[in-house]
Amino acid sequence: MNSRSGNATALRRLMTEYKQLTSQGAPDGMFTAGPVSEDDFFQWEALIMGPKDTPFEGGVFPARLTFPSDYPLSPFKMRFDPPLFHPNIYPDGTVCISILHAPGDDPTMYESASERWSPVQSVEKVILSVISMLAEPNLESGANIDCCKLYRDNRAEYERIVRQSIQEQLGL
Amino acid sequence: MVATDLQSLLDAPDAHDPTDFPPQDVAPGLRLLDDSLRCSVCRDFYDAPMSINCGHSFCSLCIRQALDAKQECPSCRQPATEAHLRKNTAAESAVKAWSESREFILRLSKAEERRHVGDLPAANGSSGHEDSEQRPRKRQRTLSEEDSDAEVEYLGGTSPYFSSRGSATNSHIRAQETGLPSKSQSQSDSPLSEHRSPNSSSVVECPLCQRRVPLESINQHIDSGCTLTPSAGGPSSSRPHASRAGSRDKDKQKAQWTKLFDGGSGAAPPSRRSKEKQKERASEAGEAEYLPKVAYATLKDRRLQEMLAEHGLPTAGDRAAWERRHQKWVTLYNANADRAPADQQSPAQLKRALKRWEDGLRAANARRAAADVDAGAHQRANSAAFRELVEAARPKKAAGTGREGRAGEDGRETTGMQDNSLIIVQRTLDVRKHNLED
Ligand SMILES: [Zn+2]
Ligand SMILES: [Zn+2]
Ligand SMILES: [Zn+2]
Repeated sequence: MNSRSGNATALRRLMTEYKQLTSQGAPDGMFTAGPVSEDDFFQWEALIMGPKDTPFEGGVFPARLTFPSDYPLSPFKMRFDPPLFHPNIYPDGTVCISILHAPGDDPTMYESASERWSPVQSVEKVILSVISMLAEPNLESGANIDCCKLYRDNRAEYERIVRQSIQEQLGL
Repeated sequence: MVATDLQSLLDAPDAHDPTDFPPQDVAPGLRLLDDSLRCSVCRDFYDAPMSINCGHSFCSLCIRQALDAKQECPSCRQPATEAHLRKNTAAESAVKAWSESREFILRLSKAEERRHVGDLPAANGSSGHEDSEQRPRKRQRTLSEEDSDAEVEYLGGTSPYFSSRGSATNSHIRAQETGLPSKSQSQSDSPLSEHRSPNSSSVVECPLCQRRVPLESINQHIDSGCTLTPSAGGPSSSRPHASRAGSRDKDKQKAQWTKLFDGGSGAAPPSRRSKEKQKERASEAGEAEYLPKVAYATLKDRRLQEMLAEHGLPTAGDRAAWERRHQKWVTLYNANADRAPADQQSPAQLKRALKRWEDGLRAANARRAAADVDAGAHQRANSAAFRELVEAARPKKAAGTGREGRAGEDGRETTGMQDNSLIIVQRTLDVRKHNLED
């Protein structure tokens, strides 16, 4: 009988998610994601397209996904590399979003339990949430305080900085 | 070193998911049907399905573990406890029937898909069309399935899943269908070889235990928690670099576990062993009893050690390890009791599952340590791949900088972008592989 314990479950589920992502593709081609190397299914890289009609439009943002051995019981971690300038992204690139927080661990105290991680969430659902977070920052659970302030007090400057960083990335 | 080829792992015949079936327009409802018999936690077919008060169902083990972490339904978040668990026998028999019929339906629907594609002008680039171009080739890879199945040692016991996933009868049929000899046909002769990287073969390295495993049985191997090891791998099939983090405690534990598995009945020949297994299973099946949950905080060390000993579990490690071990044992044991009597595992099999789980924890720790070391190499590989992606993005950006919402064009542009990034991701993998082999 197949074992559903420990690593085997996590690995199997990651393989299934990857297989489905590659055969179906992400909605509207908004991102791609897959293991960084074939030796380690627990480290993925995602490439996320900046959502349209936001300052991130036109950019392509690589992120590291790190899965725990008890995935999907526990959520994975997501870190943009290089970091993005965004109210909900820590200066080191780590994404702060409620769907990636296990129930009962809420660094910001503002998240409703209904938005947290649960084992039926997935890479696809999380990345789609992150994409909508790029479009609509949540100032109640800020991760980059300077960016939060700028976003609140001087939206135009915030957008200019974001656009400029994308231009630099693209070498334009 | 043997490279595990990512794509090979995913193409292995028993890495199954709903998208194996043609899309909705070709085979209405089939993907949904396949999906509806899967647990949304593990994405595999229900194993001892249990319903909870809200009506959602999960594998017994999946929901028991989820409820240990948080007392709510993973799908709808309604409060739930183990007291709410009820066997979902309807789902259980549906899974059994579907496992048996899946290969057959898959074949019929693929034939239908090919016909469908033949009817239509090739012009419309629907995803269904692409699928049908690739799937039939993929299936040829299952040719040598029969060999590997026969040589595999079913340490984990017989499973209805195994027989349906890697069915020998079906590989026969497939062989006839494709007009190729079924045995002794070497993998590299298959038309698929062009897709493989040069150093890959039909043997892949298991990403969990690093043993070399034939591609056809890699997923069974992984499912079995690395116990199910085919004899085909030759001398190198024993672990090449088994334990990197070889602490004394670990060796001690290993010795304990070995004693547990081999000390009593271990020396017996396989045939006698399996008889014993059946006997154990039968004696257990009559009662279907459950172990109570334990409030570990109130227990003295001594008592906890006794409780482990009662179930024949090792007492290696520290107090935290004992608690983890006992708690996991209770969960595994109770989930097993939820299985249909014929599918239940013996205590020895459950102990193996427990050991695999502990090994997995250790491997994860080792991986974390190794990942820190690799970070630098990753960044270098990553930046190279990223430069390429940027190059790919540039001309598009220049062409379509008019940026106001011309929806149709934008849509296509994004899709083009995705193709590019897929290529980049593939290249990233290649670059990394290269780095690793240096
Ligand atoms: Zn499950
Ligand atoms: Zn529910
Ligand atoms: Zn393995």
